[in-house]
Amino acid sequence: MRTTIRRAAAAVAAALALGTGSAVVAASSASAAPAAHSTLLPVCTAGNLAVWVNYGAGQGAAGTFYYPLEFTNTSNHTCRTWGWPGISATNANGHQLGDAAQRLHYYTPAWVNIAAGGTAHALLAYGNAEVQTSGCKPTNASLIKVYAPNQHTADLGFFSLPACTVGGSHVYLRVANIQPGTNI
Amino acid sequence: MFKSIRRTLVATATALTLGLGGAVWATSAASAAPAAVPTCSTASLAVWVDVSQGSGAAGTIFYPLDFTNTGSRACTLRGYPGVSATTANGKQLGRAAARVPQDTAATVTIPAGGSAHAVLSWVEVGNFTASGCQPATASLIKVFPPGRTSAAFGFFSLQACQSTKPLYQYLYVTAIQPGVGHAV
Repeated sequence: MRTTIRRAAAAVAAALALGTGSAVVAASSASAAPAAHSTLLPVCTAGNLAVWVNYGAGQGAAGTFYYPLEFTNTSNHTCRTWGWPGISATNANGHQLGDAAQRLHYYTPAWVNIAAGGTAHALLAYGNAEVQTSGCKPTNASLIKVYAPNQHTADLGFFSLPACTVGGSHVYLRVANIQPGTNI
Repeated sequence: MFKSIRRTLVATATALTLGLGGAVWATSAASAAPAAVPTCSTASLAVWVDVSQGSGAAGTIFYPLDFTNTGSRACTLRGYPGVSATTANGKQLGRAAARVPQDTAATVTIPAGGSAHAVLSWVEVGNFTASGCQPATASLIKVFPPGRTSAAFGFFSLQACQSTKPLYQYLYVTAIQPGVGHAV
């Protein structure tokens, strides 16, 4: 009986260890999850993640700038996430500025594993032309407020770009689903 | 018991990875010794201040200043970054960050997709007289990785002093340490 339990426990440990092992190998970038591993991994919570807009990797064209919105796993274990984050820009006091981000359907969503210390990203489109020319009364934002998929607590990152203060018909932020790796 | 199993498996995975790496090296260069891990270039790094891990009291807040390796290979950093806060146009605000003395500097290796960090101390500029400090809101943080002459930028929307007098030193930075940053 005892042996059985021990064997079962060892098997679970081995399975977990394999999960960890592949995460270590993939530590370079978050990788799309094989289904068998996903079932063993916890979903990334707001507390597991730091979110930040990768300013240096911004690319612009025709009134829209594209940035990787990065999700760094600051916990000590691999976690997984799926889908679209909920996003808005705020002032320094956390007051939302204008409309929240709309979703971009550029990529097929899939589970993404983020190794401990690793980073995944979502494509963030910032509508510079919308903010500057639509009459939405822009002001400088201070923060980006990000709900990771299926989380009810938000993470904050610095975000010091002009933002619309008038909402309703001035969408200036759009976001795609989370994908592996740091780069768009 | 579990730990030893896990270690063995991880070691095996690592050995396999190293084996593959060795094979690649062998084809690219017919030399027995693997190349040393290179120093991180500015282009291979993204820098960001982790708002969510900010902590502190008595007028000073400590933030992790993270360095994420967005390149495809491991690289190293050693020593202090050069740090200042700027306007949206890159104009420096006040004094650059002063160095927090460190007992020992270590070479830190960052795997591809991984992060290292320094600790950035920000003095709430309300601690200074407004007439002396000349407060202004920063938009960016400008970071020279150790030994590099080109800077990387990240979003940074906190108050800064415009005065360059020593009394209005409002940023301090430590040497780079391993791993993604956590609240201190």
